[in-house]
Amino acid sequence: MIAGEKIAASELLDEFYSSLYQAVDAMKAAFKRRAREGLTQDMMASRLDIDKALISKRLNGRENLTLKTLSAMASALACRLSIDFVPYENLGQIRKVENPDIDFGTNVSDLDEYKRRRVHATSSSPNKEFDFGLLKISAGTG
Amino acid sequence: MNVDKQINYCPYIQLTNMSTIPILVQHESDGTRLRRYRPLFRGNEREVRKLTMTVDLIEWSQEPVEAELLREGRAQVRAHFKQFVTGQPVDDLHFMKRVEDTRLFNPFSHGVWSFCPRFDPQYRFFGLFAISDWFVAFLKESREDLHHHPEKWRAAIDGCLTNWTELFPGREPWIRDTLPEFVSNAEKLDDRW
Repeated sequence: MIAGEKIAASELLDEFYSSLYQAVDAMKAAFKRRAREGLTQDMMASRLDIDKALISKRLNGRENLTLKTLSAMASALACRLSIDFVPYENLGQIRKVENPDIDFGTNVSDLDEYKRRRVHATSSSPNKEFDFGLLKISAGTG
Repeated sequence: MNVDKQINYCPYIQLTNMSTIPILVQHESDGTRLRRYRPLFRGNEREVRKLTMTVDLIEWSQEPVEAELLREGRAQVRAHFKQFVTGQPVDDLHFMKRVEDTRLFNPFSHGVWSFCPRFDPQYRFFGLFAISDWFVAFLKESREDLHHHPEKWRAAIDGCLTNWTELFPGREPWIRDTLPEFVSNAEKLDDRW
């Protein structure tokens, strides 16, 4: 915890857009869940009485979003927008998409990582130098 | 002339005996053409994927600017890059995209990708993968400009390939068939490939 230290304006902007990106990702994830239940962008547009193109733009982060538009999108998704203040020290958890195929380890130097990939290069590769194949490296393994 | 002298005399002898990643690391340590993009990490955030950029692009993204719109635009770009570097989920349609070259039988065979930071004003950052999860960005274009001048897409592809050949002589960029071979924790949304 740092007290009394001024935060640069550029840092505030970076934090703002990082949060906004997270909000868009959360909105997309909510839409995917609802889409599996049959919700379409047309239905959302009709619920909010706006053009479908605008729904698409918002879901894809192509529109600068306000708290009001995010809240409206949440309602159209039958969700409530939740806001959280996450302490910096709790940041760093990586959200996963379904079936991630490659997971890199932690704290390895670039050259170590490169050497490790070379070791794992598949023998059937047409270009051994560059084709390291699909690796399954879990955190902390050497 | 002994070997040491030859190496000092012709740096290419050193470079061509190296593979892509050591060359890339060397360029980064020289810092004259390429530099690693390192966002401000908070808490346990760390570099999961690697992003190397030309010095011009790094300076562009980080230099202070007066106009509010430009300031906002650059902060958006930095947040986008940070999402990639910290290993958060990405996709191959909205976050980044393979660039299509209709001059080619296989329109993606050149291996050039564009990063697509969201919100307005929009920019596209063009580059190639050196290996999986390690992107090298060479050029940027305004999305608006690309919309009005479609020929600039091709120019961007050619520009990236020229840069690659200059910086990595005799080395091929990382070109694969499936998304997980390019980038981890990524969702396949683009049905063009």
